[in-house]
Amino acid sequence: MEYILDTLGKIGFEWRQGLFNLVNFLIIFWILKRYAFKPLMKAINERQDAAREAHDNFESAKTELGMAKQRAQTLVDEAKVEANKVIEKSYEQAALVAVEMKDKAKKEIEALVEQAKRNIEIDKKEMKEALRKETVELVMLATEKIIRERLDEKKDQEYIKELIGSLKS
Amino acid sequence: MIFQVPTAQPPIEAEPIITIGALHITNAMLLGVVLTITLFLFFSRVKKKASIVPSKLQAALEILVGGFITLLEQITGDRAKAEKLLPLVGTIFIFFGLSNFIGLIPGVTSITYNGIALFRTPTNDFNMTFSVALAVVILTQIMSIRAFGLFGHIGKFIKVKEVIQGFKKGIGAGVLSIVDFLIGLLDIVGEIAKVVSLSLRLFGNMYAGEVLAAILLGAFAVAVPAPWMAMNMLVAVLQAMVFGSLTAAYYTLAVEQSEAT
Repeated sequence: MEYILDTLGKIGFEWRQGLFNLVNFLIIFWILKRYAFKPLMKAINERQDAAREAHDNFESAKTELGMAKQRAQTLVDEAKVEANKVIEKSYEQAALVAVEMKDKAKKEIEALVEQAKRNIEIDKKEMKEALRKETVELVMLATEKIIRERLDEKKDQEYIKELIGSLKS
Repeated sequence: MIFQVPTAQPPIEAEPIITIGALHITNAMLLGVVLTITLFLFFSRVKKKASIVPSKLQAALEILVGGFITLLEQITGDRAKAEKLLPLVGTIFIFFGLSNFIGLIPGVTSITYNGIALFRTPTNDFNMTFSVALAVVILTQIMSIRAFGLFGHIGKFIKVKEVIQGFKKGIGAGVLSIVDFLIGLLDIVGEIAKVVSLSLRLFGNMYAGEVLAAILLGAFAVAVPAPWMAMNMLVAVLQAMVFGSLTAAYYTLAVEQSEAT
């Protein structure tokens, strides 16, 4: 041991100075641990935590955005299906309305035709009446010409009435 | 020769400036104390200003600390262990790095008091390197004791339990356990040797650097010492890193041995 201390002494080893330096180093160790590494590591870790939290928030926002997009897509799909249903229903209703309109138009046309027939019938009757009158007058004229005799007005009217009556019967 | 400058080679021992009782305060110890005060003032300001949004200085220090953590993580293979070791290895790196650098600043070691240089690079004093190496080994032992208990730690060196278990298994295993027991005792010597090897490596490198710088400056003062000084700057960082990395390696070995037991 003495030999070792003597050898170390040749390069300047002295235990009191060594102890002083040891204490000095331990003080530096304490200073750096308390004033350098602890606050710096705290700052680094806090920043890393904040960055991690921000990243997590970003990821969760991304996921939520994805989910919202999916929900929106689902709603759009549902709306499309609903719209298709409505269109289909409206086509069906339009077809029904068309059939109804067609029937109604048919009925109206039939009614018009019926009315026209009735009008024709009335016109036909009126024409028949006029024809009868004209025929009577023609007959009268023809008769006058045949008998060459002009009857008085009174007799003439009576004769006409009689003739009309005979024609009616 | 006009380019030769008469330079005195630094003595191997640090020179005493003042004496307090039996304690001689040397120029190396004085610069060590100056460094301690400077570090305290600097880092107390850093702590006061530390925030989650870093200043340029804090950002630079965080890069340095990040570098330490990465290096320690590579050595220990574990982030938690790296963070635990950071104060010790970081202190060694910063203190030794600054100590090695400060001697390269022109004029620092030229200030004299009673004809003696007032400051000497702390790492050029064997007392400093020896005491720090001792502190490192002691702190490593304390960390090992904290992690695995006093008896677990002692059990790494005095493997009585293994001898008993070995002989229970058989004669062959018993003989092997005796060999293991002797290796355990040699590990005690190894722990002491760590102090000597760590301290002599750093002291030898730094002192040799300064002696060679003085010789080169004396032989040819123009231009030639410049690359040597540049290389010394590299050595200053390198030696601090070697000391720190070895400390981390010793710690990892101590913990691994304890885990194995």
